[in-house]
Amino acid sequence: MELVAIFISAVLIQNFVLYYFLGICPFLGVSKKIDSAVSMGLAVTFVMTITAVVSWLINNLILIPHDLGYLQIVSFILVIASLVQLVEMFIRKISPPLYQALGIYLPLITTNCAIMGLALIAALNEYSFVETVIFGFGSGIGFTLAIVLMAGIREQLDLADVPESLKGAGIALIVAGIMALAFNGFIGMLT
Amino acid sequence: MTDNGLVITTEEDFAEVEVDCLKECHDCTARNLCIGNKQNTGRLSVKNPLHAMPGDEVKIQIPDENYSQALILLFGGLLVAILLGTGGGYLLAVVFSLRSSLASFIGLSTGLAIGGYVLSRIFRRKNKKQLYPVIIDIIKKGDCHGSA
Repeated sequence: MELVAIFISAVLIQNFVLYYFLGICPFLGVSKKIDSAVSMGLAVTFVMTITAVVSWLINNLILIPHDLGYLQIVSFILVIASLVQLVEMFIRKISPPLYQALGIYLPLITTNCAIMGLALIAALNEYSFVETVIFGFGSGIGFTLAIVLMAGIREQLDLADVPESLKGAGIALIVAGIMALAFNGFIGMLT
Repeated sequence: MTDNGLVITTEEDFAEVEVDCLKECHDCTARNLCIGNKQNTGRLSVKNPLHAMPGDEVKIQIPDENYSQALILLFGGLLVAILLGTGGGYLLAVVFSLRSSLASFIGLSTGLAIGGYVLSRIFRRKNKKQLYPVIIDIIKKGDCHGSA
């Protein structure tokens, strides 16, 4: 039950984009088409889950036992940078054309502040290993949900009569604000 | 999406094509860091069914809709693998009274390794069929034609 609560909380209540306002750059930048939003969301979810796992291992097996908590941020930065490099190497190995097509896209989407925020918040909450995996996965699904909803709305907005001065980033930010207000309605769902 | 480029080298069924800064790149804030770098050009490996020669100006088709599907398959597959691994490890820990964190971690690592292996097999076939850009037209013949 505890695991379900952590998952629902990460997806709906403490959504990284709409509650913490982390990862806004890819949220606004890659939310023009639903299929690219889904693929981006899954990439971020994967990196979030793996980051949560590796940062848990480093925090609980190295930093806390040796009283090195002050190195948390530095070590998490290194973890995230290394993981993104590994993901890049993996894609380059198994699919050179996909790697060629992605270019700078992959590091940009998977190295956003939401990943760093996830590692720090998971450490702050003192989750167990399995709870950390569920928290990382749930946070990624929450990010995916937010970006796919945004992409759906933006696809509809292309057909709408938006005032000239609000076209592009302006209307996207207004929509993001309204979505954040709507997601605030989930607060209190779990007590 | 289509784009124009210049064939630099050819090898068997593939060619290396230098493309002008992709049309999509013009709107991208990361273009200075990306393939459209200093000279606003990028080199791509493309399938060469028309047997274009070095120096030819060609039109290429970039299968960008396939990239989203490939990414969904890749990351979705890896996510399913690690979740199944973690869940399996956790259940084994509960059944056999093991340390849940250790069993889950081993399960996750195993799931990731198996998932990575299966996906690499899938992508080996998928790469050639769906993911490489293809030369669809030779716009202007280069100087290399007829010299051999």
